[in-house]
Amino acid sequence: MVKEHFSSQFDVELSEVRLRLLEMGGKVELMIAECTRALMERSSVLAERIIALDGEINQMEVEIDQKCLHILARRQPAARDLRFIALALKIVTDLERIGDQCVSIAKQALELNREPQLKPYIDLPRMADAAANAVREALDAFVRGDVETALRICRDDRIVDELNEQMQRELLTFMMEDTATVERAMRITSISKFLERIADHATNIAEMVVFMVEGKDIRHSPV
Amino acid sequence: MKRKVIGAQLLIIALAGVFLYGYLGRVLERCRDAELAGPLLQGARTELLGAIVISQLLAAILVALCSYLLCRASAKSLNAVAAMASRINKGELGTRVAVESGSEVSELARAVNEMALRAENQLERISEEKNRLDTILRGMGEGLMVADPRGMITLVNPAFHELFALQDQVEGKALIDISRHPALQESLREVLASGQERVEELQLRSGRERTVFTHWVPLVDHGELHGVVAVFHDITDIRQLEKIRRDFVANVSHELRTPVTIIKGYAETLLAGALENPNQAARFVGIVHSHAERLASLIGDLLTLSQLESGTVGMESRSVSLPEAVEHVVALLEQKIHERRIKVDCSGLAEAPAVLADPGRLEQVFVNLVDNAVKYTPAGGSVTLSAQTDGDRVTVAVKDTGIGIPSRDLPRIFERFYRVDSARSRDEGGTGLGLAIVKHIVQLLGGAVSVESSGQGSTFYVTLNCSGKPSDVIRTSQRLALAVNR
Repeated sequence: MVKEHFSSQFDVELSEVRLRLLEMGGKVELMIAECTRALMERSSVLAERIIALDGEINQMEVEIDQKCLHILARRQPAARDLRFIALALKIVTDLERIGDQCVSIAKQALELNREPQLKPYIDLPRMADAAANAVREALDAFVRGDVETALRICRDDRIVDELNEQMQRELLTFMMEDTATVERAMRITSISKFLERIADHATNIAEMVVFMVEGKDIRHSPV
Repeated sequence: MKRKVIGAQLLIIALAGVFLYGYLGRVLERCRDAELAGPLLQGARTELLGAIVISQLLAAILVALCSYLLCRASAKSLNAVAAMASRINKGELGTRVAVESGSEVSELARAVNEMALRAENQLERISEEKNRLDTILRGMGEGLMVADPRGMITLVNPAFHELFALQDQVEGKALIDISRHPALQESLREVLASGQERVEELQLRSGRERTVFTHWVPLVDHGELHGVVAVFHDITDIRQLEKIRRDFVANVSHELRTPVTIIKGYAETLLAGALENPNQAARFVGIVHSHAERLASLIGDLLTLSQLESGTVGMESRSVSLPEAVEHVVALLEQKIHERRIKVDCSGLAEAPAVLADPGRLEQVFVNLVDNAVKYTPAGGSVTLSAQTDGDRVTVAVKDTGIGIPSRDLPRIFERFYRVDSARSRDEGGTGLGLAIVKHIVQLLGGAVSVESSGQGSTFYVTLNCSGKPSDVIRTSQRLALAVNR
């Protein structure tokens, strides 16, 4: 993506942003995997560890933001490089939000672990997998500049949305049948919602990848 | 080159001209001195001048011809050497030029030939070295990666591709483009910054989930960092085995402690005064007895299993009739079968060929399988045994109409202490080792076990070798010997 330039220092700065961005992506991917595990294995230790990771992610966000602003101010990039910096600034926000959702899931998992399991989780791990896959593939598409994969991620977001709706309906029946389950069911409902948001952020990243490669804005338009 | 030759020719002609002109001038001067400059002499002078000009022209042509011929001869051999040099330059190291003895360029040709030969040998050695290195890298079970100081990958081996589930070429890419695992980035940065070796264990998620032991070594030459080598050793299986061993120890302690606690509890109650009450005393002693019994069978099973696993157990290998063996087993379990009103059908075994086995051990296999089938089949159900021959192998099926096994438990059912429903299994007096023992015995007999299950009961399959042909007997006993040795 970094095209030939007259100034090699500029290249170094751009690839540094890219490296830090992908590193942040890797950390966020790990957080998704770990918070799913914390939930499924009912591990409070793991949940605590994820909550502790949030600080690192926030710090990375600030650092990448600063780097991007620095490049904008000093180099005044144009065309492809400008698109890349704009995209980095947006992706960083999406990644940080995903990190936040993971922390929220971990917090809910901690609460859920205090009580017996409401029901065997079947759709939840499926949703978690779908969301994790979406994030992984969006970042892969970013690495390879792969528009095809990016477009597929945008299309597949519907699957996670449907799973979320299904979960909400199912948990509602639990709550209506037995009021003792309300608290736990509400927690699972919110976890489902968080996972759905993670997939949405992945879609945002994928849309940005399309913009970066083709210079075409596909947001808010049917794919 | 040619220009130089022409220059030399012109020089010779010019020199000859100057010399002749000087000579002529001197002759004319002498003539004037002698005052013999008459018309006669004037004519002779003109003639002389003409002759001189002609002879000079001739000399010039002769010189040109000679030098042309000479130059052409040496240029030809020089051209040959030049052509060879340019072919060597293009990579044709096998090229040689013919050396003409006595020729001026023969020395040069010889030197170039020698140089070509040395270069050829050198290249051969280098490519041999490279091939050897390639073979080593390809054959390595560990994934290997070399990166330059900027973190760009310069070399990987096939095992690395496999470990990270990569399809594309990775050389020239940054590590972050291959894997976004945070620990990998951290290690790379750390090693590049500190120039120190680093060892760590990490969980990889690209492709299958693997536990990987990584060793990072900086490439330092004369105090300068040239890059980093990372070796990835897949230790998933080792960690898995360690876990199984840990679980086994935990399971054994748990299984042993339960009956001991019960025996101890009832014995204490008896000592504390229950002995005085005959009714209670008899009941409590009965409980102590039954748990002591369970403890004994558990220890017996553990011993059997450890013997089977260590391979120290002696296995007989002779022809055993399947119907007879199974009938004996059914007779042993008669009481239990009768109590539960279960129908055991062995008619499917009537046609079965004799198998090659240790009769006592084979009986143990069927006791475990039939006992299990009876245990997990509700009253009034049935257990059916049948056999199917396939070449020199026979597969015995033990089919029940019981509660079945959930499909997620099927792959682990032959593991030690693995129970689908632990409370139920213990109520039935199981040790949790029966199927593990079955598996080990059948494997030592050169056979195999498998299981199928649905909601309507389970079927266990035991495949054994027939004792029909003598060659089979030898083969099986060899395999047995091998298995035992192992």
